[in-house]
Amino acid sequence: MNRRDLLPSVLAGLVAGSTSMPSMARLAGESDAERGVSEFLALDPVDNFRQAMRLQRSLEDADDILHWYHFTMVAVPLNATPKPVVRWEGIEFSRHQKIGENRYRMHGHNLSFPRDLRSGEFVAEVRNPVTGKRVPVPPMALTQDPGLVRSPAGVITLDKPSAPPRPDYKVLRRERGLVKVDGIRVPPDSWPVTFLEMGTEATPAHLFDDSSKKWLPTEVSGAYVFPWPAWMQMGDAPGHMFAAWSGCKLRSTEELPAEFHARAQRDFPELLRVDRRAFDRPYPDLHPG
Amino acid sequence: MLETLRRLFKPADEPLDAGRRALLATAPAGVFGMAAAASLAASAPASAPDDDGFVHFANPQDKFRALFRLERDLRDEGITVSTYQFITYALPQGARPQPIVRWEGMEFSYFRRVGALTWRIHAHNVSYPRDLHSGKFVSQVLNPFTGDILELEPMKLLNDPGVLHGPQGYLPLDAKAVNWLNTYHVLRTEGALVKSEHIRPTPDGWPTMFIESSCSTVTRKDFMDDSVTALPFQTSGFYVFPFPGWMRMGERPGHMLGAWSGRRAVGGPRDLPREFRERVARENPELLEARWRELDKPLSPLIKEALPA
Repeated sequence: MNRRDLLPSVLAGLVAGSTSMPSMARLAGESDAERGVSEFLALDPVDNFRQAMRLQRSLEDADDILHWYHFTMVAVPLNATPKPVVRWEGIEFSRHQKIGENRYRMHGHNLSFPRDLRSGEFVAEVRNPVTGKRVPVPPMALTQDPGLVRSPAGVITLDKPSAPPRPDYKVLRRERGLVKVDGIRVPPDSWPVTFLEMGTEATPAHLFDDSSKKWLPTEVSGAYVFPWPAWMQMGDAPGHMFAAWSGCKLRSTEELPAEFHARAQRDFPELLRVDRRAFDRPYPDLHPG
Repeated sequence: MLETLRRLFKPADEPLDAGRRALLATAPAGVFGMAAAASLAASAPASAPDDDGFVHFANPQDKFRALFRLERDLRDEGITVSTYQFITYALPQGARPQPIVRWEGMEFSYFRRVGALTWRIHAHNVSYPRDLHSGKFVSQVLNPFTGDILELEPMKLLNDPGVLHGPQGYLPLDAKAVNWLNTYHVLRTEGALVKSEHIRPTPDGWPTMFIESSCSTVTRKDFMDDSVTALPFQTSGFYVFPFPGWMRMGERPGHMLGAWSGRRAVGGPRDLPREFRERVARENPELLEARWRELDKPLSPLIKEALPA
């Protein structure tokens, strides 16, 4: 099952109507009563965790999860007008392994290439709209993720494996032909203070309702707040960056857009492959929670 | 609209209902007009790549048609109803950002073409606060930074002065000078989907922190069908705004952030989520109707002068 195979289902859930609304509504299998559906799913913590896993990753004991997205970064100087800076196209490629009942260990990496805000062409430098300077923007290859353990109790980041899990926020809701999970990522104390990440992932309701499906196709959107990156050359100026993304979950790197895939294959071929060696490292002091 | 934004979001004396409306009103969602299809044909892009990529247009007029068709309707007269849920976060300078409250809301806009490719738009918004975790309607939330219990009222934004929208950008109807506000808009294809990314910053020189960005998704099939004058969409986005008065943050530096997920209510108010629609019908039934009288108000001489032929 890949995203393109599932596209008719995704679209049926996606489309809330159109000039061709009657036909699309039939495609989505909606009755008039279903059109007004919007409800929060009251799930116990374990089921909430498992259903969120299906949406965000998969319930397989071991799996590789690929997200592809575009995102735009915005500079938010204190007491000044926020300004868009640069667009990125990227992937998050992660893998997980079940290590206990409803307990999964995860590792992953990210790779993103900067693109011009208006033309969409790959770029190597942009104008910092706050300072007016041209600044070089390198590709982002984030490969130092320490990994984490996720369970209904929350999240343990493996740079502090003995710390208790931090509860995280995941609310599931049904909205017409879609089921959505709204998530807020709680960073560890060791992360920069100015950090926040939130997102919404949506899947067609009829696929969600089929419990035999451990992996669900999703459209994803979200945003995160983070400190000035070094390449912005902002010095001690107060403020931060903000980025908003839109993308989807894919089944394999073969589904990536050709241009992105070609560049990644040329410049960072190892980041298009699954490397499960991180799981070889034991964490004897891992918190049991 | 920009004047409205500035008024509404002045940090010091923020009215309770000043939260979301103004920013949304600068770029609200789409609509299905009830009138017969207008003579304006939906615009086709100059290029529509088969593979994933950016969509390029032959001229600004075609690009505007694509935007207006996504966010509203190319018919001469129509309405737009969109429904969404959004979570607001507080970001005090130097402190860990925290979520504050979830909202469920709608934007209802009504518009009429008043010149070549230029529409006059008015809108109202209604949003109700909901508990972050249970999703139930609430009237109080905790401010985690001050420990205060905050009293929340429904957000009803009813004083929109209106705006002109055309290929030049946006021009608020209460503007004191003719400065069309341009925005950042990019369309791109993702397989069978077309995504519209729209960033609406405020002009240079504004003293406070505003920006709004959205990504709306439609099907390529609908997008390429000229007979579809108003595209059904799913949308997500965010906006940045100063601390509203109800947060009682005093002079503390920082700002708020809201992130939403929603869709066009293609069938109009009857297409709104049932619990939300029933509450509006109970408390403010008049807000489930278009307020067409807003469009009868005379335009200022300045705005009349700015209207394209």
